[in-house]
Amino acid sequence: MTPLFRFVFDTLDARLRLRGPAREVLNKVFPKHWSFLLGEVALFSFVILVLTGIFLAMFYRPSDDPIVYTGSAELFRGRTLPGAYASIVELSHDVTGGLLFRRIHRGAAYLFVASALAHLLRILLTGAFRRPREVNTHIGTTLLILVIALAYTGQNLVFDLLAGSSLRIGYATLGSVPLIGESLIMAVFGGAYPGQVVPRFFALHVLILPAMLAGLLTLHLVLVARQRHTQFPVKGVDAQRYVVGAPLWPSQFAASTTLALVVGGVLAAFAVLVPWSDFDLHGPLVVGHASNAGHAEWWLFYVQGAITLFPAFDWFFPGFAVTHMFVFGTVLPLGLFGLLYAYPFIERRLADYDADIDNHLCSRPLDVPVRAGLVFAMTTFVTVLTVATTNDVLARGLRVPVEAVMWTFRVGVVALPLLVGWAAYARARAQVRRRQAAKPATVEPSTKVPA
Amino acid sequence: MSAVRGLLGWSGLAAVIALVWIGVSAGGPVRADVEEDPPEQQSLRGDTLYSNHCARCHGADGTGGSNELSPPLVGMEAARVDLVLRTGRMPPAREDGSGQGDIEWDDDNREVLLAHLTAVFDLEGSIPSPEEGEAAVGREVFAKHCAACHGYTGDGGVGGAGAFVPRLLGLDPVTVAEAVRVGPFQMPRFAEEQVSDQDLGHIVAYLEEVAAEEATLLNLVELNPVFLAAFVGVLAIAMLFSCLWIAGRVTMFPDAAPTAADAAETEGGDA
Repeated sequence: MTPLFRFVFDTLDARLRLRGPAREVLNKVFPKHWSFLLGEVALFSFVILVLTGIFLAMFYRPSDDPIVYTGSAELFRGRTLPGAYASIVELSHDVTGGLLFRRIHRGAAYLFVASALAHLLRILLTGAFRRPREVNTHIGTTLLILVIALAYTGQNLVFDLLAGSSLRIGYATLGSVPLIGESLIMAVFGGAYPGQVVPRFFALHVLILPAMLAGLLTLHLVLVARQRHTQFPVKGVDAQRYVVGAPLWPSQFAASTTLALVVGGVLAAFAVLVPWSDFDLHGPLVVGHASNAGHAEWWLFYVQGAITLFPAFDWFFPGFAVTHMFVFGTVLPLGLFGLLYAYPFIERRLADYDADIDNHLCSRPLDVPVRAGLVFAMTTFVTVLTVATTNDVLARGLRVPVEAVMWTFRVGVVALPLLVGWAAYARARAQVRRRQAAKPATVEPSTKVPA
Repeated sequence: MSAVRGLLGWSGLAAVIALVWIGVSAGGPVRADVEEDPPEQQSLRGDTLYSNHCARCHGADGTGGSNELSPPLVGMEAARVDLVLRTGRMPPAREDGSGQGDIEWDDDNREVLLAHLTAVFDLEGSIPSPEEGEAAVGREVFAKHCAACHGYTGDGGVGGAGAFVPRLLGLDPVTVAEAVRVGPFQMPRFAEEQVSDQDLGHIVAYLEEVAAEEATLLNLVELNPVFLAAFVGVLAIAMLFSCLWIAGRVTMFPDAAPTAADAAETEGGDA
């Protein structure tokens, strides 16, 4: 400790009593496993998103009023564009570093969603959602919804032709809700498509949703610290009782700093190599225009896949209608998130372990048969829907009619989840039986865990 | 000093070679222009081309064959005939894959054949020639009339029922103009009230601008979301390996939970 730091610290400590809490925080033990870093990747992506987002917000014009673009972009000079789109053209072409920041922001958003999903899978597969962590699991699921809401609002602020299609589908999905559809549209869009979407999404994207996310994320992390981290079994240690790992200072601090630098570096490298967010050719949103080969963003592929794959129908009842769009564009995604919220309780009922004690040990993906079956089946279901969205690209690449590709996926979306889920379940069952046969008298240390 | 003179000597040699090369390559087309065929000979060549490469299906008198794949040529639009010749759809590739007949279908052969067909079979209309246009206007015309099928980047896509929408980048301006006016295959025909001759020039200018888009080091320009998703996959894999590297272990998941024997051993050790 340098004398200056000692002086500052001692002076502050004499007044604020920092020494005790600081020591507790610095000595906090972090168990070591690669999968525990997935959540950290999401955290660092968020930090990068906030930093680049502040830069972008300074140039964005949150309005779709038409203005004449006068910058240097050949494709738009002298043309009338929606204000939001024009401001981003200007940011990309006429502001030094603008395009780079936009690409990093876009890449970080993709990484944010991807790492949040990977983190979710880790929690599900290792059983980290069990008592006493159900509350934090639900906070995590809510965070994922916020992440997706942020990604959706951000993607549509660009106001290009792709955003137009994406907004149109969102509009149709909201409107498909029986009885309250029109009210929902008024609440979100404030009028007929595209409505007041730009200023509203701007407020949501730069203020309301990030504030909610930051607050909930803090709670998420405080609870992780308070409830301590789960860990994998350590040979010769009662890991239910003792946490084995490295302290926050200096080991985990060094590891996390390295990871943060790697995340930043990888995102910067990708921003140079991959034109994530270039949109000159898309052109601005014009009501009535659409493009072939347009798709949702990848994290919405599964919704697009569901709308595309499942056959269309409309059921009319007196006073309202239940449509294909409602069932597969609204109920299905909501149902998936409902399942995520419900899963800790489902497993309590179905699994044959003592769910009323605190579990601090991670299990491996195939340790609990019910869980393995369900998680693998649902993951496969969402994956098949995701891949089904690419049917036009696949059809073109394989030179087969797109209808043939569709029917293949229709069979796949039913058969593959069942097959994979059953295989995972069977494999896990066999593994459990083998282990039970190997050690008939299992020591069960978890019954005497202190609170 | 001698080094400088040596350098001068070499550059002088290079200049001579360059001049000779330019002279030789410039000489080619000039010679060809001189040997322009007389009209009768051109007509004869056209007739030979037709009977060698077209007549088997379309008939010697151009009245067409037995099925819809060999339509009658008499009275067809000249632009349609020129379009299928320009895009290489006709004459069809041979079954053994050896290409379109024994000759090279260059501009010269195509023009001779077309002139012959126009004269003999009364082909209608003329070949459109798009004028100079403005890419910024072309982008708007393209978004309105073309993007719904060809995609905003002109990359094409699927059309349903086994039909595919072709990629437009790299086509020559006349081909694009002909297609707009003629409406080949499933494509609708656009009359001058919908897409003016001026607009045709704008569209062509836009497509040229798209082809000239600045690419990244990986030679990528604006990506379809499907290909973007693939790069997100690459990004995810890069991060996964980073996590494995930083966590300092390569095993995905540790071995089974400690067995009873392990626990007993530990307790024995403590005692």
